[in-house]
Amino acid sequence: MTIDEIIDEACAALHVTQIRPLRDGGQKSVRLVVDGHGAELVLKVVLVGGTNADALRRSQREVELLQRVDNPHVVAVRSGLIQIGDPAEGVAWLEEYLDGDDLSNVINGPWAWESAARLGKELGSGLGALHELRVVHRDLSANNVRQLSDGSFKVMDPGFARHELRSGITIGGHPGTPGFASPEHLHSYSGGPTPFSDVFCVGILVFLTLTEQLPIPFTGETSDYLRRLHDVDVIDLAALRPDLADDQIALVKRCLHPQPARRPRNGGELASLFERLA
Amino acid sequence: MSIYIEDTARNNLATWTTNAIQAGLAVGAVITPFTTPHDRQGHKQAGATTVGRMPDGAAMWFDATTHALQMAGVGDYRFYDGWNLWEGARGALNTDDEQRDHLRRVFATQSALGTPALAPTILLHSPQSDTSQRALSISRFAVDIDPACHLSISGTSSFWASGAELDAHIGALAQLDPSGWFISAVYASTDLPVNAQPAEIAGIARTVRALSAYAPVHVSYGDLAALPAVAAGATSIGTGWDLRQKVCAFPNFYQRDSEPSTGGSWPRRPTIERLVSIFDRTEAERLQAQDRPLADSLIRGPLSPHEGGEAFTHHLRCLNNLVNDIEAGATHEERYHVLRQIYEQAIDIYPTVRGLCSCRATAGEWVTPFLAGLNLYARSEGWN
Repeated sequence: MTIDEIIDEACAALHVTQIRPLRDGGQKSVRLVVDGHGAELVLKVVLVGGTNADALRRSQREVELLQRVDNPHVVAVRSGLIQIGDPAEGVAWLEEYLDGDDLSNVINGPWAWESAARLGKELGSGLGALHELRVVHRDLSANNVRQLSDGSFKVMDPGFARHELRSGITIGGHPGTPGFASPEHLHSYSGGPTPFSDVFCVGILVFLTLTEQLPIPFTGETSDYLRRLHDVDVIDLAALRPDLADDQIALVKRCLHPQPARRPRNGGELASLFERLA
Repeated sequence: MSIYIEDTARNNLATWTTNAIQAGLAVGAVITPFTTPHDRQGHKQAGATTVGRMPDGAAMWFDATTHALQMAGVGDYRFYDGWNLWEGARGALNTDDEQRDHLRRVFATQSALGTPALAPTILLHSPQSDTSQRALSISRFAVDIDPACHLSISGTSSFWASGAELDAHIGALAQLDPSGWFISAVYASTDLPVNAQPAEIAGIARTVRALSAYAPVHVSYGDLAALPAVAAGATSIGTGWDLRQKVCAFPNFYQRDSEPSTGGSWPRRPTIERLVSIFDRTEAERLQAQDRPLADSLIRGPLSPHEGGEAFTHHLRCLNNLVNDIEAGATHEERYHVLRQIYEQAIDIYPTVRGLCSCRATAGEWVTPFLAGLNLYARSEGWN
């Protein structure tokens, strides 16, 4: 089947009509669609040729889990994950349509603490809802956080499914984006990503908005970046933003602590801490 | 900070522990299936009897010590097999069902004894391995079965010294949010002082610092070697009068046919508190004869009696004194400075002491590695 045939079949199975492409690339295609009530939704299609049945089942379970998330700071999943073809050639599901722009496009100069703290609080809230379901995002980056037209933030692309379906960029066997990864992304066994790792990634994003720099920049040789990530060799926030208060700097540093267990424990705790300093 | 008495195969656990608790020098004891029988065997009381003999308010634990089953040379099953801890082969934890079944049996045993739920674990040499994955799995099942349970972490030197990899494994465990922790460092030999490397001491301290923010951390068999962990926030440490209560080592679990009925020779060895060391008795007596004021200041009280439980009480009192000194620090950083000063003063005075009594103990064995480990931990906190 071609990608267009898979998309057509997915639209038919999910009872939606295509409006226009939003993003295409690699093994993934994203389309704006409309349902029978006229509501705009996003159709996500992933090519999965070669994905084994267990991985598909795990992905289906996780998308079902994500449908239960009801939080204003996590993109809403509007359908279960459906399989196209037998054996599967693609999978598809529906999400709410989000206006606004990706975080990577809205950082135009260093943010005031209040704005960065709002980002931290709202991402914490969204991630907290995932963490309560034992879902770890694993790939939080400036390209999968959206700032809506009302100024609020939403977490996109949550969960393990993208990794299972091999559609995510991977670091150390985990989905993750260079520059936005946690040190746990380097571990393949018991030390892999946990909610502490999502907290670390929020710390990266808050640092980025405050300074326009990544705390562990992805520059030079990949091996050098991985070494600095392993050592959690973080740029000194206080040196870049001497105007910030000690407790504000301390909170960002705590999110980026080399020891996972020294960071805020999950998104919910993180949201409370940012709210306290907002 | 509290002190627990670790289990011993000798026959004096209940009496000496009771005395220590009544003297306010310990809060309770930990029994294990390797050293306490389920049903009375010879001079050894049944586990339930030992627990029942403790004074009111004593905190008693049953540590299944499953991590001993992975130690090289383990073979002391005189009492172990009397406990109903396995459905199939002893130590079989390869499948989810085997892990859950063992956990349920351990928890049922603890419930029957009236002791808190303490999940077993397996021994780790590396925090990033199939085995560490299995240890995480066992812990995850444990909190699924009993969310109020304590979790255990047990590792050899290479495990505790593995830096960021250790921290990542500890992070995954911390997400399970148990009611508390029992951690143990395991050695290949029963040497005292333990042959601990600075990176390992720092790893334990870092771990205690992280975990104790949310739940109490007990350092099993910690004794004097656990003082850096105390500075890092440990809430209790384990000790005892016998060598096998002061260090968790492979030989503790070697096959043996019988135990001496006495308390052993270790209680007779005086603890030299300000040197954070244990001397031979003759050496301590020689020091006292050569320079009584110096000996009194280092021992901080009279030399221990020669025999029995009173001799052991001396060690407990020294350990309590050191812990209290450290805990006088109001913050983690202050505690670090207190302990560093204790170590540095010990290193300074050791040459004089050796000159006076020709003791075999050296600062290089008893103090220097622990100071180096403490300083490594402090460096990771940005304190030096």
